[in-house]
Amino acid sequence: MSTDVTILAVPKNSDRSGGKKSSALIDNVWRAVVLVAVFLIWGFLSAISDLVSSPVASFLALAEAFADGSIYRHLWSTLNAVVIGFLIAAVVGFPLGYYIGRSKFLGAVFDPIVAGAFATPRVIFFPILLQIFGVGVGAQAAMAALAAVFPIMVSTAAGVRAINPLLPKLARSLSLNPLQTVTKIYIPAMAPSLMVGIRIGFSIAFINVIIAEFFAARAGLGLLALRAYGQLDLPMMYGLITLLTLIALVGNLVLWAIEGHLRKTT
Amino acid sequence: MSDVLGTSTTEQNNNVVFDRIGMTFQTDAGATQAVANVSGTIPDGKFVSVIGPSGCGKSTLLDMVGGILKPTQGSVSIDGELVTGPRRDTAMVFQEDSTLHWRSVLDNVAFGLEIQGVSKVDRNDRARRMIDLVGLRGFEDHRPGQLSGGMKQRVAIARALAVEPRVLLMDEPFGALDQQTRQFIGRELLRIWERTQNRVLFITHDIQEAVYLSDEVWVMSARPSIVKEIVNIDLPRPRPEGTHALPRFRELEEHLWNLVKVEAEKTLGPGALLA
Ligand SMILES: Nc1ncnc2c1ncn2[C@@H]1O[C@H](COP(=O)(O)OP(=O)(O)OP(=O)(O)O)[C@@H](O)[C@H]1O
Ligand SMILES: [Mg+2]
Repeated sequence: MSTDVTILAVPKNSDRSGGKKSSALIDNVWRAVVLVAVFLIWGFLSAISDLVSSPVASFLALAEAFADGSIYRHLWSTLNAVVIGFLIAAVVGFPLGYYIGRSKFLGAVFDPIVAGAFATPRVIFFPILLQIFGVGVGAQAAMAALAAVFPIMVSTAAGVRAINPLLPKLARSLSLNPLQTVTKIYIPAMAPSLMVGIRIGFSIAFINVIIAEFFAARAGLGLLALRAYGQLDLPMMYGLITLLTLIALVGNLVLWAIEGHLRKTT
Repeated sequence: MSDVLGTSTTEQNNNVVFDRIGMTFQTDAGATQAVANVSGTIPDGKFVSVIGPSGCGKSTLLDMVGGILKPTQGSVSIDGELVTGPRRDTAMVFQEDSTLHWRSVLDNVAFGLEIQGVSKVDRNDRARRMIDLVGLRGFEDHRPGQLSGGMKQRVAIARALAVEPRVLLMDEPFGALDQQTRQFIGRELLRIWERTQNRVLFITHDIQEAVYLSDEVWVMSARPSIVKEIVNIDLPRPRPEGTHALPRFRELEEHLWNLVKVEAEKTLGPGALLA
């Protein structure tokens, strides 16, 4: 999808000051074109293949699940697990990444450990988490936190290391207190890598919650999708895929808005 | 002049005094003695330049006066107080770009004032005047990323001047500027300094610049460094544009050049400067 490109792009503050309106308009036209194309291809595929249900049937199935209220329990469970898991990962990952990035000693100790953990598929730990938390939102949230904490740490540590070494010196020479040093120097200077951490952390939390729900869950969109697969309920399956895409999109739009706000106020 | 111990406290009160200051860095690769033993005094209202070969410890010296690096030996005192950390009445301009790239030029220049708690109206007002002074009018809303290297350095200079420091520490502040801008900003700096009568410690490798700006030029030896000679610049002030052509100017310049040459050859090997 067209949004994938902008998700990865690090915001620049110097881009296209002239002709902003016309280029935004052109961007939107192209986004609409791509979106229409996706639906056309989807419709075409559903016509030639038994494995794909048509866009209309999928939306109807999804609408029905909302109308009879059966989906809310699952939607709520998934969102809960993603948000709680991501928040835990953020609360743990940002400070740890920050200290690992700033301290030579911690960096030397933790860099290889974090790199190793980063590359391990963390879903392998899910059975253990199930033992600890039991089947339920707690286990899914723990899975999300465990998965998201490493990319957040890695990008935060990299962001700290990439800071112009004169900026901490400047902060010292102007007698900034520790809070000011973090809020007025480190956070804005690291904003691009912090946003990368948030984006990757969010999407990895999301992915891992869905995968975990495939394994064992009492509720969740992953569980629902698995059931639909099992019953060969193609319209529901594709309806859920659409819903998951929408959630990812909305999440990223929110992050986008935060980013724009940060750029204006710092 | 370098005999600190002999001077009375009242005389020291408005001075920046270096008392046998030294700095040895401990790294994985071993110990590097950057500054061996520097003593000297910057009297009230004086403009002192420091020249010396690359790597001799000039930036290190400046960091110690600025209170952001703790000397491993000796001490610095300003106005009779030992420097134990950064002081509000000192401001630093660093050798490389230290602008905050997420802030506009105006907000960069006002940053020091913001930290000191000056109200937004007042600090923007003062920042605008400094921006005019360094020739950046019209760029208030630009981000540093949209400026040239020399313009960024002028932002840093304006930021330091905006807090009206009693001690101004500048580390090759004009290194990124072309010759014309360099001379223009140099003259502006002198004008500001003549008005405020602060103490300036100015690092440069440009001997002409050092002579033109300073009351004294301290020549540092190769590392581990000491102040090898303090050259008094007895040219009258104010110094108009033609100052560079005065015979005395030429004399001082040549004297300094000879001193620096000896030290540079120690660092780079004999004959290094003949090419
Ligand atoms: N943080 C540090 N850790 C270890 N060694 C350092 C550190 N900072 C400086 N040095 C060493 O101290 C010496 C003096 O460095 P300094 O930056 O003060 O030189 P300088 O006179 O400013 O040089 P230049 O004219 O090239 O800017 C150098 O040998 C340098 O390698
Ligand atoms: Mg230096």
